Amino acid sequence: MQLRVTRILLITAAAVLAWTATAQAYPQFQFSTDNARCTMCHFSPSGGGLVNAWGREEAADTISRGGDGAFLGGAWEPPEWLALGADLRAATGVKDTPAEGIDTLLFPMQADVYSRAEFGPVSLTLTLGLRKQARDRNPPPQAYIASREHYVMYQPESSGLYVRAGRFYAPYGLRQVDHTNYIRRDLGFYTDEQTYGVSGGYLKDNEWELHLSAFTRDPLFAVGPAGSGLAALYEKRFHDDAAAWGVQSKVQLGPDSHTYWAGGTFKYWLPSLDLLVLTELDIGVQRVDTPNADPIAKGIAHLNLTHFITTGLMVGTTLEAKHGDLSLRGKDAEAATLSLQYFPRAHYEIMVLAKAERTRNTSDLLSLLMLHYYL
Amino acid sequence: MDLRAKCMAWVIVALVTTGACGREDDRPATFTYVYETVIAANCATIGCHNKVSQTYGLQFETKAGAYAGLTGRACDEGDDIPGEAAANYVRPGDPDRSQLISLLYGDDVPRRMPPDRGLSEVDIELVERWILEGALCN
Repeated sequence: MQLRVTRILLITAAAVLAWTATAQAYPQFQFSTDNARCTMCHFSPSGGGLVNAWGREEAADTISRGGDGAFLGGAWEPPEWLALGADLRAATGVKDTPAEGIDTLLFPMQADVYSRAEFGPVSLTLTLGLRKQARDRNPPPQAYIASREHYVMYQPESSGLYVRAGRFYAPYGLRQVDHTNYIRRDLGFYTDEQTYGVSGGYLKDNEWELHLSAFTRDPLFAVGPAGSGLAALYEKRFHDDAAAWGVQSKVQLGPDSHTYWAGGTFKYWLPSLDLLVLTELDIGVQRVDTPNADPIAKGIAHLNLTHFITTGLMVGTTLEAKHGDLSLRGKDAEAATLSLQYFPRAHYEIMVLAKAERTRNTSDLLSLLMLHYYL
Repeated sequence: MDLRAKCMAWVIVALVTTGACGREDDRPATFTYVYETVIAANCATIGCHNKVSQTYGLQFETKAGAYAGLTGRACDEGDDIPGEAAANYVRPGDPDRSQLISLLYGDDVPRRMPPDRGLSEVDIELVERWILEGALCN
């Protein structure tokens, strides 16, 4: 095991030296940059995706080590009613599994173009891009193109009431960028599996926010968990906008299975240590419509610690645990991730990540170098 | 530390350190149960055996599609339809000769399935029980 770890670290280091600049992060910037809520930097009421003018300034001034965060670096400014952007990500790495040994990965991770047109309180958001294809050799044409998000939204102000309809993830939990996190993959928020639905809520300045959603599986390509559902999220800030607690609930009603989730989040910024703590815990019950099936109790726990070493450089560690059936031994898994993220200039991000995951009968190691450019 | 933070920390520690209660695995080995608890969550994701990617021609986004892909039989044609799955993924009654089991364990195959995160042994054993009991579409 020690030899495998050493080999992976050496390969990762070599890969890092072979590339030049870039970096990333996201819920980690809430509180740590004095921005208490997602809509201060993002157009979306639940965060993520295209950033607004303030977010672009923050990307240059507080998140990275300088530069101009504006679209095209300020070379051309879109009209006021239009916002444009793009995300490009590529990754390379190695994975070591007992069954297969070391496997080298090199793949495009993300290529999305964002647009948002605003007409008074109404806006139209459209994302168009390429799906990642890490392994498939000859996927069909529809496997390459995707619109992860497209929705129309009514939102008179960045605080207050909003309603949107279309394709997007129902707001729930921490909304981490890493789609392999248990709180994303195992809760129905895996990559490219956005649902269609209607969502509404209220953002009470920096004090609290509430999101209520009704969603259904993509009817065209049937990606994500089957069926429809409801989700709710409430987050309350305290400690002078340096901490927050939240509660969330989700019901997923499929043709042969109903799953109910309830959970909580806790976020705490410790300025004396330049440390942000993000935690989430979810407990679920799944009922499968088949004879003699007992309800299945599930649990997922997530702890992320991010230390901001200096402007543009942060190190994070994430500990995760999950139980697919709390009454049954052998359905548990744990993972530990160590990441280093560097933002040398606005628009660029480099991330180095090492992840170890253990289930009852196997243990996998992954190291990854990711380059991210956003327009 | 805030009381809420303490409570959450203890629950997280408990979840990480416990190995669950450890009852005998008496889960029903029906295809509905196998599909809902194993296949849908682990195999039907977008980059894999889904309507979008159709890796190896397999589409598992519905129970019927998964059953047809694995057994070569239509779910609604009854259980007495003779036939064998393409690539011998499932041989009813014979998990040892079913390629699906080799793929899940990663034994003598180019790639373990699922490649990104292997199944727990108890889930593979559940699939084996389903095959042993005739691989019915029940």
